[in-house]
Amino acid sequence: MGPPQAESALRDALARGADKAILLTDRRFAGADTLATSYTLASAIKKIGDFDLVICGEKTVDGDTGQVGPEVAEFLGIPHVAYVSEIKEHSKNWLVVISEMGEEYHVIRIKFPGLITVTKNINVPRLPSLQDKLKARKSKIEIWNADDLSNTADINRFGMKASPTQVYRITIPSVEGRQGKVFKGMPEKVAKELADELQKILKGEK
Amino acid sequence: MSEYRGVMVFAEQEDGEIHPVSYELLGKGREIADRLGVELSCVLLGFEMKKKANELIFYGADKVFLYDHPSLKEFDVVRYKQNIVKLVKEEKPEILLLGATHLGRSLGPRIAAALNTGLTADCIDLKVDEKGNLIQIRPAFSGNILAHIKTKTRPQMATVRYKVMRRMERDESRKGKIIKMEAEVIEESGLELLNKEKVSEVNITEAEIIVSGGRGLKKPDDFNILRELAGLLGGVVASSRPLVDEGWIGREHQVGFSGNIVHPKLYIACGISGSPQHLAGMRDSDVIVAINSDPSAPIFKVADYCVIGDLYEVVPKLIDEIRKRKW
Repeated sequence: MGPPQAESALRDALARGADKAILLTDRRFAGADTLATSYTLASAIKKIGDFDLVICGEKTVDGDTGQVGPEVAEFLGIPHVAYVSEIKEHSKNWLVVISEMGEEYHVIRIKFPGLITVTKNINVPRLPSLQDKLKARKSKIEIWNADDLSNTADINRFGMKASPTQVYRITIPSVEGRQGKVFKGMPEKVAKELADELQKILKGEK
Repeated sequence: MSEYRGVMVFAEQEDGEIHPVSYELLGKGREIADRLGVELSCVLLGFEMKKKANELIFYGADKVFLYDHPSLKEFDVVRYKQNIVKLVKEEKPEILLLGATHLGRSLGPRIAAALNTGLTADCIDLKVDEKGNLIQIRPAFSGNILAHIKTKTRPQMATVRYKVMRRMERDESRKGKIIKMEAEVIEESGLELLNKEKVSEVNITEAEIIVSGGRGLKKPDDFNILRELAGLLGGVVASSRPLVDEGWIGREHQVGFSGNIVHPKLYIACGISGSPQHLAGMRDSDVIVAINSDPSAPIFKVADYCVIGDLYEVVPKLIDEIRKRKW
């Protein structure tokens, strides 16, 4: 889902191994927050119909929310595993994946149909050959607009007006210059003074 | 919308231990609930968690909805979501908060989608406007701006970053109610936890104390000096980007915009000049100590303690001093 120029990202995906690409583009999709975005993507996936696995990136680099994957899974009514860094085993009916859960890894079997969100550790993207690139350039990319999703979606739930969260203000974080206490002179003296301060900090007195 | 009332916090547990972010959420939740004149409730899912539920009251909850069932012992996003969504539909809190942990950021969006409500990720501050709406403040565009966000729907949901909110003093005399809930048991969620493993490699984002080295280091082995200091302080070693690019230390140790963003209690920068990309990764640390021989190094602008001197002289002396004091 994106503006018409997002087509180039899809051509790249085709060159790297996708068989088919669909671009969801319509002014009515614009300004969507994660909820409306997820709803739109889930509606398109429903329209595609039969699928085993949905793979999403963990998060975008601009919004950085990581919410779209799990929200799509909920709208599709399927299980999901987030933060997948490795696929250990796969069969016709399930995957065994490693999910990075902070201080622990969870090894999880997820049944199809399911959704995973993957971290950048999942793999190194393959490099497209020249032939792949040429083929991708000639491939047809399907374009779907809001009306094309009317069988699987309520078209009033797209875009900005269907987005519950709204940024109403932007501020620049004050880069608080700190009033640093300066230590200089003989290393022994400095080390002693610094050790005094560290001791206070670590004992929670500061 | 007025039928929604109260603040609810999701209490996260792993292996039967409450995640500390839950106490921080209760601290902030208490503040907001008092401001709005409403109740602060908490939802806890797990198995044999009764005792731990009391802790949530000691840290500020008026009410704990406890789902105690073997099927909820381990995190299963489908089972957790199902029970919480049902509770939220009945209780109708106006605000629902989760920790912006891996678990919270996987669970929160599912709950929000099921309730068809807005969710703001990774907040660093929460406020209430004059009409009682929740103001959710989060960094955007790699922390270069702060977005202030309001939610049109109810409940207003947010995940909140770990280690930014203050927990209340634990108070055993606090009174509250633990309400035992009948868990909805989903036999087949499509997910099966086969195994859990502790992450062995260092996770510097979780470290409370970081000793970090930069271009002031002369050779790779000199990281050992910093390792020794870090070891004494119970911390970990990190690095600025150039040394990682040189291959002197692994990328998992890199602090900065393109590496890890850290906010430990104590950050000791040794021989780091303080490029904007490095500062973006560490300037929110509680206390920053900078050791650098160049008094004009930008790192000193964000430091609480500015040591102007050669790290090769100061750090070994500091190590001696700490050893002498036997902390």
